[in-house]
Amino acid sequence: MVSALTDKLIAAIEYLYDVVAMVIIAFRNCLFIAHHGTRPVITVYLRQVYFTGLEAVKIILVISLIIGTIIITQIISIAGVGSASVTGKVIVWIIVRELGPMLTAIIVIARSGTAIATELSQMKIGGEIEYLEALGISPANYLIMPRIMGVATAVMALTIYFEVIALSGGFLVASFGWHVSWDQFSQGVFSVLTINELVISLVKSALFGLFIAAICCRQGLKSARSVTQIPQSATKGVMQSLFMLFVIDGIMLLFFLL
Amino acid sequence: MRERALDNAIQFQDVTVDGHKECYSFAVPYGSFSSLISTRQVESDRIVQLALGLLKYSTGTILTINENVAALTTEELNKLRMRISVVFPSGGLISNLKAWENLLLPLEYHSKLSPALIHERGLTMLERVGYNGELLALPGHMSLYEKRLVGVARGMISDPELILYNNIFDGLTDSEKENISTIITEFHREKPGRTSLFMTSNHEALKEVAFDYHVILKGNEFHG
Repeated sequence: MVSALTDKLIAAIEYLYDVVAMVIIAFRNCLFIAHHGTRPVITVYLRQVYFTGLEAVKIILVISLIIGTIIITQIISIAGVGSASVTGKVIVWIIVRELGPMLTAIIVIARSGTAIATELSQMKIGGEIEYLEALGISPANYLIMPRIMGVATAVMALTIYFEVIALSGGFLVASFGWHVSWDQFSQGVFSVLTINELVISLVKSALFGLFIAAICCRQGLKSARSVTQIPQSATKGVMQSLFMLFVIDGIMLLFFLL
Repeated sequence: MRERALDNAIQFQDVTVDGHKECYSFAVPYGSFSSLISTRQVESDRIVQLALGLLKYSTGTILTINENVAALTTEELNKLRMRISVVFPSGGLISNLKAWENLLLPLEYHSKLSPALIHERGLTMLERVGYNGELLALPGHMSLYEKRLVGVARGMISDPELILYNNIFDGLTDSEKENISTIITEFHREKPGRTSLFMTSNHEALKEVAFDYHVILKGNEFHG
């Protein structure tokens, strides 16, 4: 029993070490991008930003609008129409601190995390990783680094969109439904929306993006030579990424807010 | 500059791999146009992996272009691989890159040439191999012959010292084989000192090309 637990703990530490090492290597490779494969690596990065960031904008906008509407409705129904400052504070705490980065990351996991794990798994099974290595191209530099950086960039950008649209949606509903003026609403929001809040939100979304991509890349590249491993890689990538989101969120909460 | 005493472009000395009974001992002379005949395709795949340092071996020594592959770091191995081209049985194309991107990938990644020059060299290579397919086709939409042509063009584009052709005639028609054999023979002759190793498990394929050296699998051993 103790031995099994120890084994699991060691496996978890090794896993965490692998993922963190992938992120660190990705940053190191960024520094040397001018030496190897600048053009192809930037192309992969831009494609990742396009796929993860731009193609997900529509779904992020719709979901953030709905979330903003729901949250403002709930807050006003609890706190009442007159308490604009409380409404502003709560909406900032919920959307900027928590839901913005978290929901954006969950959407990115569902769309891009699965795609990355599946694509790399397919490449591994098809021998394409070996083809790249035979060309003298490092998979860490050509496949992993631009994906990690691309997803992190996209998650940060999407989080900003999410928060802006959710706050705007919240204001529109408050304005039309309960005749809350812009002055009242903005007073509540901007009294708590400090640079610190925005930085925490962006750091959190960047970490989410880095780790989602690293975990999904790792899962994809871990596949053995069997097609049955492709869906398994995607599923494991999603589950581990989700778990990591909550771990990072908890650590960030302890680090920045306590 | 490192002194070059290159008698052999590839040298395997008593090489064994864990889990496999074969023992590889052969040499491919520098500048030769050689063939390596194996009993199965997996055998030549393994030789390619070993020669490029993609597969670890348990005993023996492998020298590829005078470099002991087991002693090289990842970065040194990548530098060695830049001097070698491999044409894989499927063409070795990356599935999410278009034919044109696949062709230019090694040059775009490794060289400091301008995009215009790379573009020009790419077009020249495609013309040379007689590729008439779509430039923007993904490998999944290309025929086996087209994939091999792009693979051959990509192998030639970086002007390698050593080029390995791994079972590239399997599944092709006679005219397609003839075209590819003409291309690879001309490419070999064009630069003195270039080594070309044609690997096959199909003896029939040997009829297509006039080799000057053969390495043949005998029993469980390769002999040159």
